Amino acid sequence: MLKHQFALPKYDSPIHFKLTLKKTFFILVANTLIALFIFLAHSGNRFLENFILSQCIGISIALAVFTAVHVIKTPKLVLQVAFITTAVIAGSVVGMTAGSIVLSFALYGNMPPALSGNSWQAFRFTLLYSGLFGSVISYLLLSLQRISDERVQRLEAEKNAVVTELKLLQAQMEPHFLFNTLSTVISLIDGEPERARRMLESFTALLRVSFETALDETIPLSREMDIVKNYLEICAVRMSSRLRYTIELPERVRDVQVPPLLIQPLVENAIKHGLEPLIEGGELSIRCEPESDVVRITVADTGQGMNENDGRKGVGLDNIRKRLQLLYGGGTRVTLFKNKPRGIKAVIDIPYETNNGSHR
Amino acid sequence: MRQITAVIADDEEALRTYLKKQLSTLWPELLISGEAGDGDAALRLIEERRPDIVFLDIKMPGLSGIEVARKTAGTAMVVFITAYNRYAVDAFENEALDYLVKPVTSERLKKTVKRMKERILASLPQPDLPGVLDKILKTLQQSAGFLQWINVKHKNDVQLIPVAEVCYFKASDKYTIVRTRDGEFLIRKTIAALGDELDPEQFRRVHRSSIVNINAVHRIDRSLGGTQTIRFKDIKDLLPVSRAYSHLFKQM
Repeated sequence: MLKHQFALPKYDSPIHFKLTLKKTFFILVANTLIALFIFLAHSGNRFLENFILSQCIGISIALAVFTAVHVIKTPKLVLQVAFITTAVIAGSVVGMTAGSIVLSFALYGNMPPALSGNSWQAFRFTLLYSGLFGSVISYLLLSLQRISDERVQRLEAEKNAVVTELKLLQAQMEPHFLFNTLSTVISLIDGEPERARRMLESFTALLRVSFETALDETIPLSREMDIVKNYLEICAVRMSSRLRYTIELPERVRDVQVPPLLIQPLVENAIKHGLEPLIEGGELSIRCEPESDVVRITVADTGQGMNENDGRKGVGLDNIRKRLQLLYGGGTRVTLFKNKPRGIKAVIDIPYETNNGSHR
Repeated sequence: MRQITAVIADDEEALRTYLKKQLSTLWPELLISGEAGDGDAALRLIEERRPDIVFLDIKMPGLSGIEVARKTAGTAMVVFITAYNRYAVDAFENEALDYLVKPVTSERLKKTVKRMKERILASLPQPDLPGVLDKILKTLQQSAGFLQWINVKHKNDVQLIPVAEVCYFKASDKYTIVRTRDGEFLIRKTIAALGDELDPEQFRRVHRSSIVNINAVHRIDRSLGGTQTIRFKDIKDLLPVSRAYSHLFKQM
């Protein structure tokens, strides 16, 4: 399978935090639980008081930490810890003050009394709890964010690697074919300039469409068939009467989106391994048939076929297999059959695609 | 001085015409005594005309250029014509054979002609052709003769399954089950015969009745009793490893 180096974020990276509805809800629930805990642990005060104070402190710490995270951009862990701790303490103090004001108004209808010795004790006690819970929850939320960020980055890297591999596979043109074509053109140029020109025209068209489409994710089937036709024209000049071919492309499937240069290698295989080795040559037929949810593309030749030990791996077939695997994840594949009376018949079923061409 | 003759064998008429024309300028005294468009015709032509030099395309319909040269070794000097292929070029270079790479340029042809003339003047023999050619044939035929395709009956068709797509083979009565990611197929070939024909680098016997494609294996589970079970990447089937073969996976 694919092997790539994932660009994992370094541990020393600026903190990133996104406040979502889910996280807000999490904070509110945590505040409530803390209030419940303190209520149960220290009987004697009312749950409502604990609840209001706890929410005030919790929200205040969350806001402080949230602000701190957005202000500090340092990648240094020590500084990050220092800033967050400060934010937690500051948030606690602000929250407690706000909380006691709210409490006084809500419960007693007036300003809170000045701090006495007794309430100083309560203040320190509340600060301790705030600091403790605030730190734990901040750490938890920030870590969760980091983990999900890393996952997103990894998936992104994975996707990029697959796209790169696909493009590389698409762009493989055999130098062999290039030089063979040039060789024929050079041979023809003095004696039969007209044929040389026709061949160069087909070759130019082939190159143009291949280059233009090589980076596209999908192209209309009719365009792929243009590539195939130009390819076959070039082969026909070389093989003259030894090659006869037909292409059936019904109007209904002309615009179906297909990955570029997927059919052409099948045609190339049929010519190279099937028809070219035969002294008498043969026929090649390409059929595109609409089925219920796929377009069935059949490339059949009356060439020499294969024996069981034929190491016909070539670039073509492996390339197509890999690309289909990457594009459709095993959902579709090339199937080879013996053609009658002889030769090979290759069949690919391509799922109908919409124009935005997302495969996965 | 006697007339030097040559024949040209290439499946493309255009290239033969081009080569003939180029040679007539570069080596006017050379007589092209015949042309052939496929390997079989080339062989007949060489046996009939007995030329001094043969221009032989490697890839021709029918017999390949190498096969023709092998069969007529010693009767003529051979200049191979090859399409762009690094391996072939390396092979020719190593064995000091004369060759032209398509597209054939007049520059390169000039050099070849010069060498041919020198050889004829000095009546230097070409290298030991049969030995060299056997070696080249071997390097160019990548398939080591292992089984590559499994023919299975599928409705009215015969489907060709590349062995690389097979997860495992398993004996079943007189037949053998071929298990791929897509399903099961029955073939008549026995496990024993398959064992002999498949590439041992890729396929391993794990049981008297089964052969496994190493590349399709996900992992080997080992029970407390030491029994090994094979799990596959793409299919859910489990396959036991018999004790006789369990040493194969000791290191995995």
